[in-house]
Amino acid sequence: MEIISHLVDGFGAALSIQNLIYCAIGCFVGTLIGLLPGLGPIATISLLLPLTYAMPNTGAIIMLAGIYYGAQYGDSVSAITMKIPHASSIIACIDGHKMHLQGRTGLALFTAGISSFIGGTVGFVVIVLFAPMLSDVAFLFGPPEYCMLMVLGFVCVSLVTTGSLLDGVAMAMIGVLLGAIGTDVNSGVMRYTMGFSFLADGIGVISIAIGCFGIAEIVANLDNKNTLTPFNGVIRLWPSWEDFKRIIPSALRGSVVGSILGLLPGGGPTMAQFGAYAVDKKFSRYRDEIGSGAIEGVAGQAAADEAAARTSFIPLMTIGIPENAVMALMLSALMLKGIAPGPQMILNHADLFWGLVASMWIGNIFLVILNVPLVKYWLSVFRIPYDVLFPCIIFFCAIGTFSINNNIDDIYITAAAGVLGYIFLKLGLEAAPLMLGFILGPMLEENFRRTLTISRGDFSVFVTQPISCVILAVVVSIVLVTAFKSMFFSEVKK
Amino acid sequence: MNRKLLTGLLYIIISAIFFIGGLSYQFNNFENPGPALFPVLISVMLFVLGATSVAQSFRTTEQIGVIHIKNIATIVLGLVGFAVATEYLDMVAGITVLVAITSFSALTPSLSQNIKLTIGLVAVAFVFKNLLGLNLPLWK
Repeated sequence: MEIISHLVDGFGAALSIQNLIYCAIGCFVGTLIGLLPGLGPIATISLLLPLTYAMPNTGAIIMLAGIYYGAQYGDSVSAITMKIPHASSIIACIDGHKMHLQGRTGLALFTAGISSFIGGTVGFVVIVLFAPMLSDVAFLFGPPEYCMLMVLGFVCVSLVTTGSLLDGVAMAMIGVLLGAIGTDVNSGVMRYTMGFSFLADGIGVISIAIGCFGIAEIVANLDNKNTLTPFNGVIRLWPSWEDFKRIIPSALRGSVVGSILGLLPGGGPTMAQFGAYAVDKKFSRYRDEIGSGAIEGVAGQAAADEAAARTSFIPLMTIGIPENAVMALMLSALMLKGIAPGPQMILNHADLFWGLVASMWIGNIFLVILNVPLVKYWLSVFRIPYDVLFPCIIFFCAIGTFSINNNIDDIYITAAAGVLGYIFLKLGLEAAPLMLGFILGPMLEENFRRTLTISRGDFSVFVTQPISCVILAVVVSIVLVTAFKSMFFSEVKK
Repeated sequence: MNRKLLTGLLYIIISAIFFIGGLSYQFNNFENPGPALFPVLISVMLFVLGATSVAQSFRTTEQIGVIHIKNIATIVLGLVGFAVATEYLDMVAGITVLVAITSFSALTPSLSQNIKLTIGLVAVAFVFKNLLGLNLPLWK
């Protein structure tokens, strides 16, 4: 009952005309900037953070949250239409972009919008019902548990990749190695920097994502002399009943995966999208179509993305730990407002906490109301001749890469990643496992080394810790099942 | 060219770069792992996968796609030219260089279109700088 009364108060605060306007502005501006290739949630929030300085506390956080969700959606749009993702929309480049190439762009964007709504709603329910309880879950995870969780992520490569398993695993390892470039957090040693000081902070995920997906895709379009994308001016936005029946289960699966992974430090939307895709490839009735423009490839990712974006507020608000760069920005916004997130936050700033929770769902409704009718305007960009469009995309990629750290060297890294991405494309290698390895690699290494240091080099710690042991058992069973299936099928083929 | 052979060689080259590079850092031991331990372990595993791919190449005849050097070269040079011109001159010069170089890959290159595009992108950069507050070195 207490939760309901808090929630009613929260909706009372969020539904004030002033806060509704802040929420709507946040969603719209966030989507608009998130649409630009290369400018994802991190860049968008950091750009618009100063706008909130003069606002009241609740309004400022509500607007920032709106910007975050809007940028997440806008990001999916650029990934689906131009194959230029940000960290949280890498998976949308696979099936979403293939749907676009098949002339089903409107449907892909609608699916992303409606699945985001479903994911956001599930994330909202999870926060309302379990926020105080779930904050304790993060404390149950130590280095061995995280290490095993990352290993589980790598095993999911076998489910993410649509090509050869060997190539998928190798690409993930290349991602891990690229992630090792920069200063080693444990010893402070600069690794593989070749004397370049700009590599001391490592390679940015945006540079790799834009290079391997965006630049490589533009060059492939030029190679094929594609004068225009398949958008032909006809937009079929609404899905058929058959499409709906495919969207809902996938979006629900993605929502559950996203809600869980959103809670874990280092997780969040980036990891959730890979998890949702892997689960769909394993459990969807249409799993054989995933990877070739299946609607599930968009629905699961978009739902997981939004659900994780919401539940990732739980560790921030309840234990004061930002689990990713976006949440770190949110933390700085809260600190600027004189609010210290932590166990006392729900008690001391109940109006803010529950106002934010309520605004999450209102923001979701705004996203659907604003974005679905605007899809045709987002798509009008493809009426521009490709000769004009591709230099513009490259310009936005360069600006997006540069604006993250105001560092011109990041553009050189993007160019190098573009060459690498083009080579991978020509060799028929997928960039998604590389991104998975690049994101998980540094976390895996850190937790692996921490575990060994704490256990004094004793590997049995992975078995003696109950949660770690359970995850290890899941990893082993996935490996065994995959190996058995490949052996069985090769026998059948013979 | 055989796709499996080339991918295998690529994996081997990348693993060799990281393996040899890793030798200059400390390994220590499992009780106190050094900065070299993890990347060297991964590079050894990548080498094994590369060798497997090379071995598999003898059983397949799968070929790689056609590589058009001109397009990748113009796009990468356009980005690098943009970065160099922005660093040493300003972003207006960078945009001009970017549009000029990338126009070599256009299907129907046109000087007037390039001029209009340059002006348009400078206007967009101006809006980004002045309305959104992006820290762009538009002019010095």
